[in-house]
Parts: sequence; structure tokens; C-alpha cells
Amino acid sequence: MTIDGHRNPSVDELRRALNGDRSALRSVVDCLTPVIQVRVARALLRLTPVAYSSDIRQEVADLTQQVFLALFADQGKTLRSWDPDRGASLAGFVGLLAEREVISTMRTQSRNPWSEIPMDLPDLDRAAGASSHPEAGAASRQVLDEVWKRLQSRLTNRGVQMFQWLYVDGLSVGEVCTLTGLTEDAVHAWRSRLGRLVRDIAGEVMSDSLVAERTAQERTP
Amino acid sequence: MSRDEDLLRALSDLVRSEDPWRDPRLDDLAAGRLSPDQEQALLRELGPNAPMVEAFRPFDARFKADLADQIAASMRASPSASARGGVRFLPRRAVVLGGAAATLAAAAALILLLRPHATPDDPVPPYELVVLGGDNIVRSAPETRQARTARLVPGSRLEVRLRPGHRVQGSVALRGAVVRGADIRPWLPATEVDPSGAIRVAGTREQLFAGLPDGEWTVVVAVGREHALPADVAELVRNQPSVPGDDASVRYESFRVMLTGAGNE
Repeated sequence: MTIDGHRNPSVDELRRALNGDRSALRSVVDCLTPVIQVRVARALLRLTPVAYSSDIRQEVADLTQQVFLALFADQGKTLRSWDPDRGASLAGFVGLLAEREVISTMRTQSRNPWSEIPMDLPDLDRAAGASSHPEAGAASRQVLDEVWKRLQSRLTNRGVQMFQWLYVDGLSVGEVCTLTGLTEDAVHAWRSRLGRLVRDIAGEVMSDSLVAERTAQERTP
Repeated sequence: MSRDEDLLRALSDLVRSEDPWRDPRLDDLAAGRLSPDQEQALLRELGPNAPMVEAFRPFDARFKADLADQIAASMRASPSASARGGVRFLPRRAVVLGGAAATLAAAAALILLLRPHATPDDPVPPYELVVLGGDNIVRSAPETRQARTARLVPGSRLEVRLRPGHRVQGSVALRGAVVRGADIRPWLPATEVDPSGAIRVAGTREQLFAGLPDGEWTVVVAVGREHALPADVAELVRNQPSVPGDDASVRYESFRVMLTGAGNE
């Protein structure tokens, strides 16, 4: 069976691995290593400026190892909590925990964006302002590029990461709570305010383009 | 669907399309399914980001086998492995140690005492030994706790961490020996100890094993109350218990190093 392009260990194989079957354990490690590696690598590359990632492979190896040990700690307590009937694939479940482990580790390092002072939600509200509603349906690639540029400039790295999780990755509020340790209310607040900020920035960009267009027309003889 | 949702969806699509690390070929690369031609194409497309592809190259069988061994060892240890001690081998440096180890100065001494106000007779908790470094991790008998050997060529770095299962109350000291057959010598590395009782030894082969001939050596370390530590290295090696008790004032751990390339066998 494959999940996300990776071979997925069977539930029975996982159970045997957790019960100490060495052959099954090897198989589970074989199957899950690429899943965890990719998730760790993506999280690291997202959280770490590329310029500082001179030893990225070693960092990924270390963190992959760390994730596995965390998954199997206390007789595999975390892995045993995975229930296929709840809908999440094993790869998705393990991937989420891998990303959480990266974030948790990076929190201790100065380059970690999560260690920065987060933008307070009231600040985010002020940044959103009260500009007019954009004609989103007409948003062109150029407008979207500009919206993304302005959004990044107004958010901390933490805010950008939140946007990535909530909108780009499409994670559920619960999954983001797992990743960040925030309450559901706090994540809902982020989601709502980020959405409003995007809408308002898009309004500004559309308005700026209209002004530029009019100015250009007026200058045309 | 509302215009807001349209906008957010369009923006999310744009962000996804511009993120080079979302490329599904990277999943294939990690899983070993990318052909050389496909990889070359991926590298060309990534342009200046291409060096970061190293993060996605598949780990070899040895990495995975070592990982499985570590997991098995940690599961065998007990539900609370870290509290009962055990040996973990990690390939080179691993997780960030944190600032604690750097808070005390290194001391090139056989015995390093901490906090002289400590209660001398308290038992010390079990320690977990983590050995990082060496150019290769050589596995021999995988079922034993001292199954793997760190291979050290000239210039290789090694780091040894001894972490207590819980914060140590009172002073602790470390005493070490290197053993090959009947050849038993004191091990006198520079040592850092943090206030929790964790101990770190790090250095190059030359710093840690100066004057030691090439070959496989077993490093035995004892951590505990100074008064309880073995008086000499022969006693240290002799006293090393196979099953440590729960109420010990000295904890023993050991690992192997394979010294090669110095031409002084």
C-alpha cells in the first residue's frame, strides 16, 4: 500500500514493530524514513533561511532520528495513539508529528522564527485596516503577486507560517493546535484575521492599480 | 464560494506554485524513485536552491539499520528509557545540547567535582550514554548494548554525553578507562559537567585518545559520588556491573572506538 507516494506499513506490521518484532521494526523504519525525512526537510527549509542551512543534510538526519525516537518513546506511546479509523493516514499522522518536532527543536534556536516576538493579534487587526472589499474574482496573477509580497512584509515569520498552515497547506485548526500548542480559539482568531488582512491588502493593491491605470490614461494624448 | 474564499484560494495556489520545496519529485527523491535524468532536471529547475536537495537524498541502509537498533534499544530499556539509562549512538552531532553544558568550564582532569555542598551519600540516577561522531559507525553484534563502534581516523571528532535520568542531587565525578585485552589505561578527557549532573566530553581523536595505538578499544566510564568511584582503572573495569542496581552511587557505561589510520598499531 502506498500513501503520499511512500509505501505505508500495514497496521499489523506496525503493531508487531511496537511489540518488539525486529523485522517489522526494520520495515516500519524503512517505510517511514522518507516520509519523516521529507517532512523534516520541508519544515527546516521553511523555517530556516537557506543561507544558514550549510549542513542541511546533517540537520535533517539528526531531526529524522529524533522524530523516530520520539515516536517510539515510552514503548511507542505516540505511535500507538494513531487510529486508522479516525481518518488520518499514518504518513499524515507521522508527518504532522515530525513537523511539530522540528518546530519544537527550532524554538530553542535563535534563528527560529517562532522564537521571535509574535505580532499581537490587535496589531494584526490594525494592519488589516478598513479598506474596501476587493473584486477578488478579478484578481490577476500580478495582483496576487503583489498581495503576497505585501502580506509577507506585514507579517512576522510566525504569521507567514500560520498563513502557510491554515491556507496554503490547508491544515485543520486541530492540526495547527497540535503543531503550535495554541488553543483552538487562538488558531481560529489567527485564521479569521489573516483572511481579513489578505482581503484588505488585495483591496489596497486593486485600488493602487486603478489609480495607476487612470494616471496612465490621463497622460495618454 | 465567496469572493474572499476565491481570493484566498487563488493566493494559496500562487504560494504553492512558487514554493520549490513542494515539488513532488522531492518525495520521489527521498524514496529513491527519481531517475538520474529526472534528478538533473529537478536540479536545473531549482537553480540556486539546488544544493538544498541534499536534504531530500535518501538515507542509506546503514542509517536505517542504526535507527532501528536505537529504537529497539530504547524500547527494550523500559517504558521510561531515559530514566533507566542506555546507550544511543548517533551519527555525528545530533540534537542541540543546549547551553547548560557550556555553563561550566572544561577541566582536563580525571575527576571533576561539582557543587561541593552536595550530599555525598545519595545514590545517583541511571545515566544515558550518547556517543556521537566518528567517520563511521561500525556495527558488530547488534543485540548488545555496546554493539557499535565509532571509527576514528586522525582528526575525527567524537562527543560523549552522559545524561542523568533526572537531575542529580549533589556532586558527581567521572572516571574513565580505555581497555584492550589486558591493556587497561586511564582515560583523561577534558570534561564539562552541567548543574543537572549531565556530563559532556568532546574532542578530536588526538585530544581524546592521545598516544593510544590504532585498534579497537573499549571505553569504560564511571559516574558517581567521588568517594564511591573506583580507586584505580583496574578496579573500575573490574567493578563494571552487567546489571546496574537501582540504588547505586556509581553508574557505569561503556562504548567502543576503532582507532585507525595513525599507523601506530
